[in-house]
Amino acid sequence: MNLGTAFTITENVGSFLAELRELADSETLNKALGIAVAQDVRDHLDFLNQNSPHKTARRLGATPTQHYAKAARAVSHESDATSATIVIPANFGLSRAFGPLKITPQNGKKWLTIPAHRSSYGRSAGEFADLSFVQFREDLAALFARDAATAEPFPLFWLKREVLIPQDRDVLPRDEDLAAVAEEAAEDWVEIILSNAGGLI
Amino acid sequence: MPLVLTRPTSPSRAFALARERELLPSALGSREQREQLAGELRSKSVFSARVTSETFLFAIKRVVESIVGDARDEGDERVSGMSLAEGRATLLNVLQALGYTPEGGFPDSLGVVPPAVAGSLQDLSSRRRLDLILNTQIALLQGRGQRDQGRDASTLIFYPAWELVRLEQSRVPRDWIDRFEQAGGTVLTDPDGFVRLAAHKNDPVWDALGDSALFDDALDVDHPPFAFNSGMGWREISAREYAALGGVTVPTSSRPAGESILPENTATLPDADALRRVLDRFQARRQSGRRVSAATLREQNRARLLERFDLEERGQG
Repeated sequence: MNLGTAFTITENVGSFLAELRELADSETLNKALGIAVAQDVRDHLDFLNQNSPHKTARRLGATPTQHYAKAARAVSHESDATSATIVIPANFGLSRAFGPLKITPQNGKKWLTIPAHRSSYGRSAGEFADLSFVQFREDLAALFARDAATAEPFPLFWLKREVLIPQDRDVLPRDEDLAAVAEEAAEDWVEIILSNAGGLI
Repeated sequence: MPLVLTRPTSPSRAFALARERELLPSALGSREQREQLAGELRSKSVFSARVTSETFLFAIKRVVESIVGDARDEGDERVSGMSLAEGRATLLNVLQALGYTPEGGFPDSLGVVPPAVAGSLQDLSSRRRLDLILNTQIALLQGRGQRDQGRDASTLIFYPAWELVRLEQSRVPRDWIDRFEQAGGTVLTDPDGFVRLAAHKNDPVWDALGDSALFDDALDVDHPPFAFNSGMGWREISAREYAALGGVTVPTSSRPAGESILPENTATLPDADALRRVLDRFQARRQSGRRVSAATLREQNRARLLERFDLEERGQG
């Protein structure tokens, strides 16, 4: 089984965390780091949801699908004795933070559908009836619908064989932000461990 | 700090919960389902108001698994990783194949369910209804997964509280501050004067917030989204942040001195003096100004992003 996008906080995480890992139980430490970093990723996605210009929706005059908010809800974490991993399902496309993202049709389909009209934004071609297929060249086609009032055809979806989305590091927090969050979570962890609540003293 | 891009080693908790669910066909409406079906049964079942078709419920189950799970079976069959739109299209196809109509329902259960107005929330093939089914089930599974992960003994000590926050924007937002108070919660104010709806993870407010006896649209759960189409979610609140808000952090109870909260299977307990020295060095770096806080870095990054978005909006990005 092949699972989604994730990044693991495991190497080069700063001398503080490296020293801690030499000294202390890593399971609860990694869990604390995972929670903190996952929350930071959710906060970042929430910020993008509220502030990014939603360029495609705006260009088409459509209502944004709140893609980043849905991604924030989907963020989870897993941890064990050696690492903490932040898990984000791949269908949100956030792996483009780490490099260009090539999207190709799945499940035997030949085309990707790209919304060309505000009524198709955030929707799938399968939700519409009576669409006409027009191929322009080997790697470009469109699905046309007819205007209800004038019966004039208009492109509802562009169809492409593949799409390459450029890298955008800003869809996730920067490395230095995540490192600082992880270090402060580790600092809290040590202080609790060294307190009455932690029971080490 | 380079992060290592990898594949997670196990499915998300939400995906595991989705896979465990059983089908529960029912001609009951949503209110009757909440009144007549036990909460435990509902939490482990796939059901929707007035959906009598097992085939359609199975399709809902598979689509929801696909959206929350992002997994593929052997041979790369895409059993998951669907978008919401693909999920809606899949369910529409299934309804058409089953011969469903809003007026008559499913052909094998004619007359069991009252006729629905096409396009209304009662019409299973309407976009509103399909969105409601999928968004509610996905958010419930993710919320339950977050609750389960956040409640184990050590997590309760390091991250003892949840904060209720709006994740998705709503056209007509409900008054969640009022609901939080009605549910018995204490509204907190942070040092910057902002209202914060935070409470200990074991506080009864979470149960009450999702109780349909108190709120008509509630889903009878003790986790987000609490109510239909709420758009609400949880933030994890650390012990430090919760204390700064005035919340009660760690119960001062019962653990005998010297008994660590670290798991029993920990081979050796860390040396407290060595830990203290490492911590002191770390904090000294901050005091000397050689380390920037996470909050400062976050604010700097957000200011940069707002500039970028502004340029993009003006067509210069």
